[in-house]
Amino acid sequence: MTAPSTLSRRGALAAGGGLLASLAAAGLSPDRVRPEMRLDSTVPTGSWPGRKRDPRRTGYQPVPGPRTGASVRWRFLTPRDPTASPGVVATPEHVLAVRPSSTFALRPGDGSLAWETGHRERDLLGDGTNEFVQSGPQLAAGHVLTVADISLYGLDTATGSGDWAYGTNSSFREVLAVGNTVFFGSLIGDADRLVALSAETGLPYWRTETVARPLAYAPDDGILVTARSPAGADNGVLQGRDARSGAVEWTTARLDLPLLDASAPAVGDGRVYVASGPVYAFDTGDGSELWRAPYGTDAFRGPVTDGDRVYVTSEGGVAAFDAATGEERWTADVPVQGFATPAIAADRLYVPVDDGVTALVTADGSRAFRATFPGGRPSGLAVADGRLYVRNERGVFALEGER
Amino acid sequence: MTGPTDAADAADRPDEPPGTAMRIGYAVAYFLLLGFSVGEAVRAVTEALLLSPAFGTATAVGSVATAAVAGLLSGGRHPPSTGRVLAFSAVAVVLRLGLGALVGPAVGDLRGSPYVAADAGLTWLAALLLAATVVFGVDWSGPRERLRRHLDGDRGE
Repeated sequence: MTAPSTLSRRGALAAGGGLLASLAAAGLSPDRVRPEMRLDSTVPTGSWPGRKRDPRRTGYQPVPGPRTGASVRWRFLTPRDPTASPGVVATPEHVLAVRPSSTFALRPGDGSLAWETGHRERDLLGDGTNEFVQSGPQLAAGHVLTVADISLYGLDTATGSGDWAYGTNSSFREVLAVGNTVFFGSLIGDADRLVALSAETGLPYWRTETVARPLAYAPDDGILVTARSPAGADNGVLQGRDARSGAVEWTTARLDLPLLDASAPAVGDGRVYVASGPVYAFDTGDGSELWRAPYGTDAFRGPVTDGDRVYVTSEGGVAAFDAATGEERWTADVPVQGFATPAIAADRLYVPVDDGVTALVTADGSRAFRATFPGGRPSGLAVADGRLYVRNERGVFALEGER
Repeated sequence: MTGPTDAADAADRPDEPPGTAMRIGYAVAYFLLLGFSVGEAVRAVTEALLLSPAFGTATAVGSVATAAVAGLLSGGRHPPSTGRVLAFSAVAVVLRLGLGALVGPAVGDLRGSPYVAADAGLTWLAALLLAATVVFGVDWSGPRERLRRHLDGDRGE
């Protein structure tokens, strides 16, 4: 009879250590280190932290900006980069924008550069190559969110240093921040997925397999409004999803809505407004169509709303519709130019035009003033702390006027 | 790490320590064999920690760590056989895959995350320690003898 296999003292120690490490790894769930999901849709007064300001994508700032005229207080000029999707966001502490391969922050007082973070990857020889920034910055939970190439970056707002990066397998643009949660859709692994991430840690709350892209958040119903446009299809549908799980709650009938991603709908008072051709309003609770107004809206500037009216643009001008009924309130003959979506501050609607910005009175569409600056054709507008910030291919401009 | 000696370990434990040339040979062999386990473990943790590492940075760090371990092992009085080191690497990789499937959460390609680095580090540490236990810490002479007798018995019938 031979002796049974035995464990040396060192072997026993190693086995114990291995078991402890296994238990520690098993107990290290993301739930333990990831902050709880907070879907807070409110935005600090005076801030403009994302595209169309808030998670509802209203484009509405209750604090007035320039009302009767505006002049350039400072300008931060950049090389004449081809700006595909720049945008500008602002808080009382920072004004942030992107260039084709970097994200930068300016000081609101004088427009001086606070920090600039380049987005670069290395090739096989170790040389740096620029990652192309796909979409403008957004602020969420102390982080600046920027999409460069196929990754979503979370940068520290104060310093611009990178905290985390979430890699995907395809380029994407649309990112929606709600409270401390970031929603985006891209090819991840071998499938298209919609993802909800923690803005603080980059750890996912949920991932669901779908080609849907996030557009806006409806806080009353807890609904994440998404666009579902299958690859190669010209048209898409809107889907309302439970923001805490990603589960589909409702789907609209198929619409003639190309470029749903670019035409970012706006949400207000239980309605989601979509503008691409006609203007639609759907119930955020069940997706039913509430009204439809005929109009020739352009495809790449979404609607904005102050709660009373919905404002849309076309090549020839601006139109306002009653938010509750869809009845046309007024139209203004303004030659809209540039990729920026109009912005509202109190009773003024700022519209991008060929040589700058035209401000309209929201009540009747009359002109309040026109401000011009080099480069014209804004590609991003934001109103924060009483100032109107404009991004165009020449740089960032801060406009001030009587409030 | 070395375990109890049995008859089959004679090759691992010659009476005379190996010469310099032999040690260099051992070191090269260990470096190649441990690259799949130790090197991959260090590379995974480094890659999880760095946001935008220069190409090859994580692999280079893993290689340096592997070289250090290979140097330590080959510099000992009785270096383990390359067969044992190969078995260690193979068992560690299998255990890592198994543990990853059992306890690894699907967080995706997240970089610059201390959580992902800790998760990868703990899982690899568990796999390496358990592999060391299996390969170096267990006296396999008993089972080997029983197997030999069993086979001899079969042939006798």
